[in-house]
Amino acid sequence: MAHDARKDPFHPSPHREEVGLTSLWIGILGAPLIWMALEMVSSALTASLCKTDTTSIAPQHTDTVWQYLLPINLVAFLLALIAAGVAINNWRKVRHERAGSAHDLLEIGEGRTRFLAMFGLLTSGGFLIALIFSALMLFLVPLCR
Amino acid sequence: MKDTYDNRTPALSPADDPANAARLRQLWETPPGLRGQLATVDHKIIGIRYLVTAFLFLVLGGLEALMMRLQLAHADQHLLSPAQYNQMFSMHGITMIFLYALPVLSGFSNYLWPLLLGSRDMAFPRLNAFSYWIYLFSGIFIYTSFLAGGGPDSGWFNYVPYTALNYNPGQGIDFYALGMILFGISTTAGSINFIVTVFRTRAPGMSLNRLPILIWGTLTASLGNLLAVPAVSLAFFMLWMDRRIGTRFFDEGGGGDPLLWQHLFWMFGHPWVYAIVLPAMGIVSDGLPTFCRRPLVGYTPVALSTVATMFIGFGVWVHHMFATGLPALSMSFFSAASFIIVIPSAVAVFAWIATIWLGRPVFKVPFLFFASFVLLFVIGGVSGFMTAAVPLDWQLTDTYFIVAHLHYVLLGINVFPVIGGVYFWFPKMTGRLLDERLGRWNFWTLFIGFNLAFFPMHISGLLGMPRRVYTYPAGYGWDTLNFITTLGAFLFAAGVLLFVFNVALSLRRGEIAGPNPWYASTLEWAVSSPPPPYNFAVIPTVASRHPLWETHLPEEGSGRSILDQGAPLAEARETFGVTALDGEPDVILRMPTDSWTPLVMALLLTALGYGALLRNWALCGWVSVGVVGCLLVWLWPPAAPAKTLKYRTMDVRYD
Repeated sequence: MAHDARKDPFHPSPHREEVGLTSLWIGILGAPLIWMALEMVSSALTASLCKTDTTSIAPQHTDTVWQYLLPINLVAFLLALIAAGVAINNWRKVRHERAGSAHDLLEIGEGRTRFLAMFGLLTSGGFLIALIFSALMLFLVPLCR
Repeated sequence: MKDTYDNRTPALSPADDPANAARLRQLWETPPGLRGQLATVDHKIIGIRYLVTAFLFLVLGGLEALMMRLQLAHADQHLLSPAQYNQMFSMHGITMIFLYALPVLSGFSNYLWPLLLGSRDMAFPRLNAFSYWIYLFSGIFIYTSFLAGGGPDSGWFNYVPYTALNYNPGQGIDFYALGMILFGISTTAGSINFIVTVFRTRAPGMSLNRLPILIWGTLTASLGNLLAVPAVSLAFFMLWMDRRIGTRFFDEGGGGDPLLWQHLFWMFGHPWVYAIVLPAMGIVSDGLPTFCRRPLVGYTPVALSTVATMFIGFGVWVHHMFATGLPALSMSFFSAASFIIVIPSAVAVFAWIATIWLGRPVFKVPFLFFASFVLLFVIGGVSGFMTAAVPLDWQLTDTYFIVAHLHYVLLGINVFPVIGGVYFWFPKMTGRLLDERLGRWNFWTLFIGFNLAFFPMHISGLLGMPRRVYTYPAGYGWDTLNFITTLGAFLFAAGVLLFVFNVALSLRRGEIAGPNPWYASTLEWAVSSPPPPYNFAVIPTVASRHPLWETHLPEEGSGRSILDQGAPLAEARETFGVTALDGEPDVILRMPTDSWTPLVMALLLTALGYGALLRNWALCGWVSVGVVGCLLVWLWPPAAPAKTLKYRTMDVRYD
């Protein structure tokens, strides 16, 4: 149940007790960090696995790249999905921290906890899309050329 | 509870109490004379020093650019030799990207942060002074290379093996390498100071969601710098060791790898690009709404886009290396990231356009600079977006198209907001307005000159003109374009001169500004122009993001901000320490007084740089002993450290 902002009307974050800091940070940073880690791991792995022959498509290398990268991409997506779930849960708890809709929050930013919860929603959504595009490259780009 | 110094409740007093003001002035004012100036830790003085020094470097870099443009105005010219031209373009890049672009923004941030945040100074005033001095000395250090036989000549990116000792035996590269290590110390010290300042020394009530975008921009840039600068400092140190100690980090023959340089340099270099544009974007995000008479549209997404841009900026460095033969899939990850980064940038652009569209624009000179910045940002952004595509990048890399792109980004997104920012905050810094009529001439000269100089470079590049060539043969279709570019460069230089003239004239004869000549909304405009040495007679209590617009924005915030009453904290140099997220005061911080240690430390480290350059190990040893001694003096515990505060929130009156 949402906390009543009137109990503490002058505090910039009347619902700060509703969501823990760890939960907020997971919501905000989870998906972006997973995306970044995936990019680093994928590029390093690709460079390493394709190292022996960089001038032609080599089927055995392509298979190896698939074997590694596809599961890694799936795991990354699932982890980011969990972080997004945390972000959504955070938002649900504190969306009424101040008067006004989500649109008002986007415009004005009042209510520090829901401001950070909104950060989490936006980063999770954005980086989930980025992760989908990263996975698509496995299908669209020649793997070892 | 008995009020002791160790657990005291600060008394509240009115802001216009003359006794408090006199006491605070006595505590915070820098003594007159050279001694006072060299030892000062006042963030406003340091901020202005940053601005002036960065502008001097801008002029130096500009002169180097004009020499290059004279050389390239026509085909087959020989005003400069190839060696001289190489030094010119290298020093031009080094000067503009390192010695001008970030320090000028640090100047704004140093001057403005405590005022925007409702505080008395930066969190670490002496570190702030040190950061300035070491920046100044690093610039001088690099420029002294011209007195020692020649400057660096392999571009600002300094690629190995061009810079390896066997291909580049002069000392120019050593000056650059060691100078960049000194500069990295400045950037790191400054970044730490900004980060701690924003999380620790704000006005009560200034929660994270009430920070001006300039704060978000500089905070993000500082976090980015903390992660990025070590890569380049390490790279330069390794290069210097390769050249002078005999290591083989970048030498393939010795088991090293020249590409390692590119990775380390661009791991730093691309985040750096965002570090030198995000605070400038913050200047626009905070300045533009003032002239549109409405708050920034989409504060939350713009704040987030600032952070997201820097974050993604760490995942795009390989797009500078698409032509180095990496596997296609590896490049595709970075290509995708380079496309993705457009999204947060576009969020900011649409927010600025919507702010203008929905506001009632007042076409003052700062507005002209801020609005034109949006256009230049789009042009620079779109050309950058194009090079995110690997096949197109292969066609464009090392051509003048890239030169055009990076100048639209670095001048368009840095110089225009900076000059607009000077027009905006000059009244706050000096108490006088810059001349409006001269300002309009200034704007149009710069705007036309800029586009005349840099837009044709896109076409030169598409026609195949390579960058970093000291001359070119006639008949390739580049002649007219280069001549136009040179004309534009000189027109742009005339605009810079006009700006300097306006500053000089307005310092003497400018219209008196008053505290808030633009009817702006943030805290710095609540104090006199120029502000007193202590910034605020009482520490304000903030209840919204626009403390000075609250009567017009009743739906915003939690009550009304209190600027006319608060804690004077006049027992010593003090300010509030607050909680990181919500800005709740929990401690009174005792701030340091003026000190010589920052200057001495900077001088010693510079001497260490020269010692390493000369490979005079005895000098290095003695200077190191001096550094340790200086550190001991610096870090010696003060007699009265930070005090625990019992802060009685309910004593504060909310209207």
